[in-house]
Amino acid sequence: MTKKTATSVAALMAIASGMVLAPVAFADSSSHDDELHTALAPIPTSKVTGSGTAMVHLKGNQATVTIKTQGLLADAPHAQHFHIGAKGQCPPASAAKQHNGQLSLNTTDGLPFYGKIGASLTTTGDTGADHSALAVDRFPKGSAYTYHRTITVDDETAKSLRDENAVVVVHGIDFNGNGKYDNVLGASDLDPKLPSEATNPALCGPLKMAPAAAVAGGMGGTQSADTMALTAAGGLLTAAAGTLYLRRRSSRQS
Amino acid sequence: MTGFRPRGRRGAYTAAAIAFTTSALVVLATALFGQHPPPAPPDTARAASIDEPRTPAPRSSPLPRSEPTVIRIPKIGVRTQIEKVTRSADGSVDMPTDPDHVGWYTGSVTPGETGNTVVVGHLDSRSGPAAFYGLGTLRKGSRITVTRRDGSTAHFAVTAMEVWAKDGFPSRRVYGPTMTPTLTLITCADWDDDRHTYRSNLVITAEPTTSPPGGADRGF
Repeated sequence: MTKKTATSVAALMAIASGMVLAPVAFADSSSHDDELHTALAPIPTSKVTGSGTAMVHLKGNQATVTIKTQGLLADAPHAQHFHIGAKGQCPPASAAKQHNGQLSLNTTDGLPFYGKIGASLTTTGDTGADHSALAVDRFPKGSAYTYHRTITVDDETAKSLRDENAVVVVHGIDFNGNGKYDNVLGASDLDPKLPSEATNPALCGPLKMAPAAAVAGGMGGTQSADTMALTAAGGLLTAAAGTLYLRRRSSRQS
Repeated sequence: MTGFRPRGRRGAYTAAAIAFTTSALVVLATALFGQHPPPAPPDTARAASIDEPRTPAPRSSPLPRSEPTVIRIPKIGVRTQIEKVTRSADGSVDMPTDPDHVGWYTGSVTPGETGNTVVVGHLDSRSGPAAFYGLGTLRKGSRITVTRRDGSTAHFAVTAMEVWAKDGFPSRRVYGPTMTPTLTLITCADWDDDRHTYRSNLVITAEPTTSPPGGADRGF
């Protein structure tokens, strides 16, 4: 019993010290590396059937970004950004509106969900939200591409990434399936000189922290069978002894 | 009548004592001669190559987002509730609070959506088998269905089984995003008698399939 009490006290102390130390460990989260990832799924109503994946390794304000796509419009540039500062979500089909008589979802329609641009994921040069958002000559081209680049993001974007509030959006759709960007949905809501198809969101994915390490999916209750059986058998034998006592008592009474 | 009652009571007590003692002996005998450790996954699960491609062509179109409620695995008699779980303090995925439930990692997509859905479950609790106790008996082609909040059902078939040691666990491969809908089930494997802990994780990969003809898992 003394040993058991000592063990309980030790366990309590371990739990208590963990509770004290845990907040200290978490307070330091911005200095270690963070890994985020997401699958890129088609925007509803966009007629896109492609998909993709995105991974971001974040160290301070340095973001190493890897994006893979498939099934996008071939031979066409695809603008891609971190969007930040809204719900950290991709827009549902209900966010679509009539554009040039067609139910579709342009970049502005998605803003309440994924937010404004935090960084432009260009292949070379500037990655800012203001100057490079529609730098069509510096974005990846083609239906399936792999993009890999380390960029510096501003504090707001870094914080949004760490808060799991940033969203990767890849733009450029072929709504009428004619193999090129045209004005079937009218002019772009972002730049009237461009067709809406060229800037409409195609693929989207909310960036979430990637889990690391194996899970603790077992406690061993089916492994220490001896202990379990002894406990059970012990209980049953106690019950047997109890009934024998009652038997003796009841025979004395008679 | 008065003479009969005590004898009747004595008889009942005798019978009860014998029953309890016999049960105790049976429990002990079972423990000694018939231990039932969790079913082991096939040996091929341990020969998994890290370069193996894991995303073949999609077999049915992805579903829109809708959170999962119930998972069914007919082969091992699993039909249980799905809890929501988040990332644990050590960076891994938390376990469901009820060992008989499984946990859907909320940082992963919902089942049937484009991407990798992560579902974790206990192999055993402190007192006995838990939700994913029988996971090791699944084989390629075993069916898994997940009911979603919107009333739709996502159907999957097992395509791969891998056992990975906890030290050197390939987190990116197991948790990483995929271009097509994928269901990843994770539980423990490889009991370490000395350290009283599981050494490995069993990782089951399943991919979308059409619903079975005639509703083979109806009523389950």
